[in-house]
Amino acid sequence: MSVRVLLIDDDARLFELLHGFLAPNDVTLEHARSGAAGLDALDRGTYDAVLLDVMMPAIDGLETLRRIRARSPIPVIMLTARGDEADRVVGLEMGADDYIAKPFSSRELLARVRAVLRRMHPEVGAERLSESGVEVEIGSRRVRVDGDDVTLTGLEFDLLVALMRRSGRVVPRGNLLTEAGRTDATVGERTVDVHISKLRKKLGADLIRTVRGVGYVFARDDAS
Amino acid sequence: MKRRRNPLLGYFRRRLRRRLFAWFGLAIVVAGMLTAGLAWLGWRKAPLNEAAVEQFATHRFEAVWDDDAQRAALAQTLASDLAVGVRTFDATDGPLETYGPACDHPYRLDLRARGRVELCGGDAWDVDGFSWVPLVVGGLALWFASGVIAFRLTRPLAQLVRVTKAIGEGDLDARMRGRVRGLELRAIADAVNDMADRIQAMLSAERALLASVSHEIRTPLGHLRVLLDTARSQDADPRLLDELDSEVEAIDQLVGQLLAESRLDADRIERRPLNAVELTVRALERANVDPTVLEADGESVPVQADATLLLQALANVLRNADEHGGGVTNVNVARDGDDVCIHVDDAGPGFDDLERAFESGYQGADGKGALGLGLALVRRVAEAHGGAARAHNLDPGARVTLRLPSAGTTDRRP
Repeated sequence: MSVRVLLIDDDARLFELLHGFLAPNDVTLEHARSGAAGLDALDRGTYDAVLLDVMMPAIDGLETLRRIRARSPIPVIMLTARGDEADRVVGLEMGADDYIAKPFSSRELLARVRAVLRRMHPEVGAERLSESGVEVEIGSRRVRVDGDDVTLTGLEFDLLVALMRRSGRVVPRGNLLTEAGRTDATVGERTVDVHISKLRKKLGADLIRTVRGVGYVFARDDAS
Repeated sequence: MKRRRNPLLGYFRRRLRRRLFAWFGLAIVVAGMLTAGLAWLGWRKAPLNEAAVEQFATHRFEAVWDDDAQRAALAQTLASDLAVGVRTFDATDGPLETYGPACDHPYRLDLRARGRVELCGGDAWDVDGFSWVPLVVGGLALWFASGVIAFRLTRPLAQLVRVTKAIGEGDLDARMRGRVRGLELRAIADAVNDMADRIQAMLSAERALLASVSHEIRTPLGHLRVLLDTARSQDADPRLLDELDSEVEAIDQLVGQLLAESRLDADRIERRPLNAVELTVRALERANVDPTVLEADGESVPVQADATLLLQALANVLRNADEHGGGVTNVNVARDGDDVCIHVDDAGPGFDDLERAFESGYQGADGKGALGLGLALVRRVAEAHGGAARAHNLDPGARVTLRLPSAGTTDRRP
């Protein structure tokens, strides 16, 4: 699945370099050097996601985001400078889907782009998640641990997918329910704890770890 | 910051003022003594020979004593010509004539068995009636005036000392204010204000340069990271790339410190309502610390803070514990009354000097640490938010606590 991503950033060199990295990873990157050019490009072409730099001359990133949101729900990942956390907070409040701080790791960027696309299009069929020996086929709702099939209930499966999509990062209990698609009042946060402990028994205890008082983390391969 | 005694200011306030006062007093006393001495010398050199005058008058009275009319005429002439009081008495002390004023201590001209004459020079002759009171009162008034003059002379000097001291301590907004009397002092005040203006302009230009250069360094750093990841996907030696990655990360951290410092220096603190738990999670991600060490009072602990600065401070505490404290063992985010407390525990040998742990330049027993910048920034950030940073030694390990007011509206900085 090749995706088209629009980079709105005044740094042309970054575009060249990112293009070189993302092309072999099935991501076609296109470049707009300013907010206005970016908005034009969005009007003319179809894109799967936008990478939007906050710090730009003329129309800045936040204003561009406001204008993008006025016309489309396209996934937007904000590129923020690390010195400007306030921009990130405002950006998320204004409807950005994710953020990544410059200078970012390109692999991390790729992972974020894919995660955002998955959240936008959960219906995409043959998607597979694989992490720490756990393989999940989302279409067929099959789960394998070290090659052996494991049977999960509907909620357990949704929780596992939500955790694996953000593997290595803390997912607060509240967000976990939203990301598992269970915003209905029938599932309380206590129930989440119960289902997580059942999941642990089925998958192995150390894959899903508790952050006391906050939420859960799915262990990532490269996390020591 | 503790208010330290300023010895120079103390000098102007007390010593100079007191010394001026004392010198004025001494000058007045010396002047009084000189005046009195000269006057005394003047009396000694009086052109009138009192004994001769007495003898002359006595002889004149002896010649006319028995003639009442001539005696009375002589007494009257003497009284009017010498401007003295003249009283004559007979042998039995009976008063005869009286001309001019009387006095308590007259000159007596003794005519033996025939009687006597008393001469009164008035007040000028009356040594006992000489009053020291006006002299003393005048001296005291002069002295008091000298005190006022000393105070007014030293006040602008004291202000000058206060202002230069404040500028030296980094308060570049300090200026000589109010009307300064005296041309020389006003010139000094203007020169000091001018100097402060120029230092301030110079420093802010330098800060702006530092901030923008730090910011710009991130652009090539970002390019470098993309190149590293591209090289990684093209079968380059992963160990070498990991090393390169960690160097890039190190430069990025230094830039972060510089930017945070320049924000603090420029007082650019943007408080907004934040979730301390979410921020701690991000700090854990940034410092590459296993997030499961976190423990919190629920998913949301509100705090009013500058996100950039607080995140940098938390990441610094975590990195410090990770690199010098044998790894982070526990991170706790909790409400404590009106405050939010974030504890970071480590498994290391503890701080050998708890007081100096947050001083810049403190490197701890292992001598590592990038110039001891990390924890110094933590304290500055905490204090800029009206909070505090503390270190405790545990057994085993150590704990660094960041305490921040959850409302954040009160600025407790001095």
